[in-house]
Amino acid sequence: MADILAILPQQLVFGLSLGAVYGLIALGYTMVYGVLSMINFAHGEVFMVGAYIGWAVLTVLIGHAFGGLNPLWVLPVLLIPAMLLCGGLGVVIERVAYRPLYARGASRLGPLISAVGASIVLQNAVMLSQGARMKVYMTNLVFPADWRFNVLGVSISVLSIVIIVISLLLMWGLVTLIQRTALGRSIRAVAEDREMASVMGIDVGRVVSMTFFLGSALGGAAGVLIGLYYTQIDFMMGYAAGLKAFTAAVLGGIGNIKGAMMGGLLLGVIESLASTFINPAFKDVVTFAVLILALIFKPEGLFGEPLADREKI
Amino acid sequence: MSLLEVIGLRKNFGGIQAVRGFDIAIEERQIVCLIGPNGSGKTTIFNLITGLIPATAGRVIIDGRRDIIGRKPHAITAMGVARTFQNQRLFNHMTLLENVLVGCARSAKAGLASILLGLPGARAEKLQMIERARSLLALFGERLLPQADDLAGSLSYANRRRLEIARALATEPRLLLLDEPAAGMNPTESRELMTDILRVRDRGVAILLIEHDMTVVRGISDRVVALDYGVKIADGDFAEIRRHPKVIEAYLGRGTVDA
Repeated sequence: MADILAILPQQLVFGLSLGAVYGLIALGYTMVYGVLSMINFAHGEVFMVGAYIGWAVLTVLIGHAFGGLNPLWVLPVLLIPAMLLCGGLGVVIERVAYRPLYARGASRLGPLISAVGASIVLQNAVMLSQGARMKVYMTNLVFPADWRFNVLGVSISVLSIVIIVISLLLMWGLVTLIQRTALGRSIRAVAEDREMASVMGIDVGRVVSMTFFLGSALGGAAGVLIGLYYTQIDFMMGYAAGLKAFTAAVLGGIGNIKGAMMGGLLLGVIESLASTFINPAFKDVVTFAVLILALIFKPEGLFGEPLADREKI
Repeated sequence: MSLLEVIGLRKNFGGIQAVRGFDIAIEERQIVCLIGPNGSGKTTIFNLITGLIPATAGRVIIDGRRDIIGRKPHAITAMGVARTFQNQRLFNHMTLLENVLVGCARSAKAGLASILLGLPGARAEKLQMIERARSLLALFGERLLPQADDLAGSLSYANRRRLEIARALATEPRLLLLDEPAAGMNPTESRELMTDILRVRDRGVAILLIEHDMTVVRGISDRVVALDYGVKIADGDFAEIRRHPKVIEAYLGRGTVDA
């Protein structure tokens, strides 16, 4: 037991960094649900593509050996292309796989199946172009393994703190955008009543595209962070991560921005505690048991009110 | 040349002909009332003009040249047509000010990057937009402005109706469509609404409204258009309409012209 207590703080930091990344991915699910009332099941694959983009850029950087790989410039150089390209990918997915169905008045089931199709296409596209074998992030060239510091006798890696900080910064940026800008207001207006929003002069199609862009960009950033952290990526990684992040979004209350972030953090911590106190093999069992309990006792999710009333007029 | 000209507008819902060849012309700064029994097609006409539902046939022309049939609602709004709904549809999770700002968004020029970076131009534009939104709330005296930062969901019924009008004006319309603005209001509130509507007209906005309250209809209309079964049955001033045999027949004398 004393052993367990000794590693507990470390596990908590691990849980928080994992949870922050879950939260980033969960934001994409929750935002799309907010404006379209649909689950974008291809979102996990966007995250996976983000991890591959970061890997490709990092590999180029290493190949050209630009002196030392200082994280201060390497991180933006990995994150920005991943975010922009994934944002664009999200917009394309919506245009190709969802909008044609909505435009023809499809039920909710149609886009859902189309989303599953889109994720299979993305997985296979990456597998065919990049090969089925895993790719390795040379993280230790950016964050050397001995970059750790001690707090009260607990050894914490710099990378895990960097991941938490970057995730929180991105979340803060998103919340600011949603709360304080005209685009954010338009997104909230479309989420609350899309017909009314259109009559108020809002181009709903454009707002939906922007929502996909923002959510997918965060997913791409999450892919890079997870790649750096776990150092191994493969074309199937989006499935499990997507499922976890979706769970986080539901746990927090789907459609709710703050809920997605808190749900992610909570899920990450629960997972790491379950690995510590029970057995790493049971962490998913515990995670989904928590989800089931939450759905039974608080089906609208744990945090606050939704982004918008779901009642349709 | 009329501000809005509707020619031969038709809408079929399956076998039901909701609107059967409706014509109307509205001039600048005119207040026109659309009356008719329930189910006569009034709201359907609003939905057709604002592009929320596609028309079966007909033309809706702004400024004598631009046909807006087939355009998306936001594009029609951009041409100067705004509306309110019969059932209130405020953004309840936003403040009063934000509700109005949603309508101002169309005129915003600053890009995402400059907003995020807090560039001076974006900031000045934002302040200007907030100022405009506050002045729209101020149209209703002290009714809305002191509550500018409260959630719209917390407003009283009459104030919700006022906010809907303020919000619609934020899109800078030249024609405002009001769907039963006096519904559910007491006589005092209705009288206040009438002066509010006249004030909106004085800003240079033409108004087409659906209304059942004949006191309001008589008090503000330049013209009244009566509708029955999707067809216009009368068009003229209030005095003519109240005596029109077809109008009386449509209402079956149900005490509509008691004032």
